[in-house]
Amino acid sequence: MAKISLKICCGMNCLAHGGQELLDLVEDSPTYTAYVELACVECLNTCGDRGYNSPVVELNGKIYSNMTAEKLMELLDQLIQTNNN
Amino acid sequence: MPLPSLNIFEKMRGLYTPVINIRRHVLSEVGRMVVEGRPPHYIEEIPYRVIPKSTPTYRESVFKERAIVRERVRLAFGMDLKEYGAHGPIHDDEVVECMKPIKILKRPIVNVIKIGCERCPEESYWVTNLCRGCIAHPCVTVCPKNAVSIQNGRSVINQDLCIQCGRCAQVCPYNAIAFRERPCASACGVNAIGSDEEGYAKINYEKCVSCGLCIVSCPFGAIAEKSEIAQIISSLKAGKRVYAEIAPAFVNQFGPLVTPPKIVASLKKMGFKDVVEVAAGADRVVLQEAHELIELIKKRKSYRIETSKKKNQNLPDNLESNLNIDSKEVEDSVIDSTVNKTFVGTSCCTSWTLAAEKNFPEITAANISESFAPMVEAAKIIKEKDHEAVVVFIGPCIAKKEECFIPKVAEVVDYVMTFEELAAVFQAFHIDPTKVPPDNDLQDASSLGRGFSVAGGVAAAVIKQTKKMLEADITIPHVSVDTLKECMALLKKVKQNRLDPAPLLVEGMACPYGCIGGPGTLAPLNRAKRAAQKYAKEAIHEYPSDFSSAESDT
Repeated sequence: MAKISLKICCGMNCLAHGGQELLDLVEDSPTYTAYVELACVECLNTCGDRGYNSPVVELNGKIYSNMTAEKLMELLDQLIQTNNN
Repeated sequence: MPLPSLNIFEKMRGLYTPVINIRRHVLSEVGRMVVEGRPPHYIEEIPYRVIPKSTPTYRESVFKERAIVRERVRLAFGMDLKEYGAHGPIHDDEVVECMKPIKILKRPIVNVIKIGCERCPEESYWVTNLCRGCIAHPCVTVCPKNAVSIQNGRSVINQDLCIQCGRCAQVCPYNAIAFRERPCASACGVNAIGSDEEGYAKINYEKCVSCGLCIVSCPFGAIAEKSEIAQIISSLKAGKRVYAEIAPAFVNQFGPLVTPPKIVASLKKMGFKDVVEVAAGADRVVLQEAHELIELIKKRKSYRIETSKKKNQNLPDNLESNLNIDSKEVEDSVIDSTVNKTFVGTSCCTSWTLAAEKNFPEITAANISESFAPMVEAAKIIKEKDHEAVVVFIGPCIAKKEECFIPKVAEVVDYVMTFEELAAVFQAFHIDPTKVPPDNDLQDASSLGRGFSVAGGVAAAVIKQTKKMLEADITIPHVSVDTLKECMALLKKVKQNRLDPAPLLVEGMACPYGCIGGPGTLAPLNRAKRAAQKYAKEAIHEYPSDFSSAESDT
């Protein structure tokens, strides 16, 4: 089974607005580390001029902005469930 | 099984809450305004940029949200808060002053934004909905003041009689009685937070040591600190010779991709002349405190030194005489010491020294080390090289802003900025440290100096250095505590001589886990701790003394 590819933007905008917490969320959870291929990447260049849509993550090639820990958990749980089925 | 309960510092830290979101957006907007050189009246626009929506997100109305942001903007510019209820725009002549490269910061640093304060009830025991009005009702039985009674099938506490002993909460089989406290007050280790007559939180500045932990503990974000980013950016833009000194807790604060050389490069790109590690100043502090400790050891009679085997000959001359001592000599020296110095207290944490001075003046005056904080020592290194240098301390600490009001410190350190503020300034300058080509690695400091950022690191460093200087393997009783509450409890014990063995070295840190838990940090605690310890090991020299000897060799 292919792992879910999750790229978390580690640019300054995204990190200052909650990116580190997203990293923590995935790294500290054994469930997620088993299913998710995590990468910290340089700025994905999708944040607006003022960084109001940060933090940004790329999940299986799709960009999600304004990410929060809750939203990311929801998305990951969904993906893991569909993968398992 | 319920999870173990967290203390106040662990509850919200490491979470990216909307409170932090607002705070960081305000900082980066203020930074941008100065970088882009906007006219002063642009300041009125910032609340609308931070709260752009017309439906309220955080409070009952957008107008209140913006009103609070206005106050935050004033603080971010370094201005005083407007008096609550005072009419007027945020923008006035002050803004023009704030955008000049001149230090304008005034006391107090930590401010309660009254309009944002939700007037949380003060400490009290409260019966929650979990109460089932049981027949046994042990809460009533144990209350020493007869303050608890059963009314309408539920337990009720008469707040006028209650003395907050907490027995009822302890015995309730349903855990129905909760202790309510204000997060700001419970985070405060020196009991500086009370209420005014209307019930708003009010800081008693006689007691406050500006540690800043109430700021990060208030769930409504009603307490904020003044910032100097506007003046720092102006200084950079004015082409002054600005130097950065960066505290050892900086590793990994800006994410795993931003290595120390990249931070140096980004700072230089922003206009800083050079970057120096504060840990270099910490090295000087280690050496001085080690000297003080040795002096003290020599004086202590009850103190037994077991020198490691043949090293006796290598001991410093003056020490040797005191080591193979006949007890008479020692007794003399004990009597000689008119100053009743009983331990060496570390000097690096401003909040700790301030709190100690304010609460235990009689024991701290003699005992806190005479050395300055690493910030000051590192700033001296910079000023020795360049007399016109403008020194900006970059660290996790809010209390350092307070320290700059001490005249001797103000001579060498010009501005203080937290990591959080630095991130906002990076954003304002449109610099992404991940994309900047790395500069030279920092190698200003020893591994012991870099260890200062984690609680226990200062004591460990001083002891290691002392052992090395004595060339003897001795046990030195020491205590390290973090959080001000613990610090004050410890000083009380020291004062009453209740510690056995009595410590020779006392390290106090105001923030949980040490500097890495400071209120101006970006990275979650555990991540920062790991990184800081790893970074300390990467230093070329282990001991500060290696450093000076290596320098004199070359």
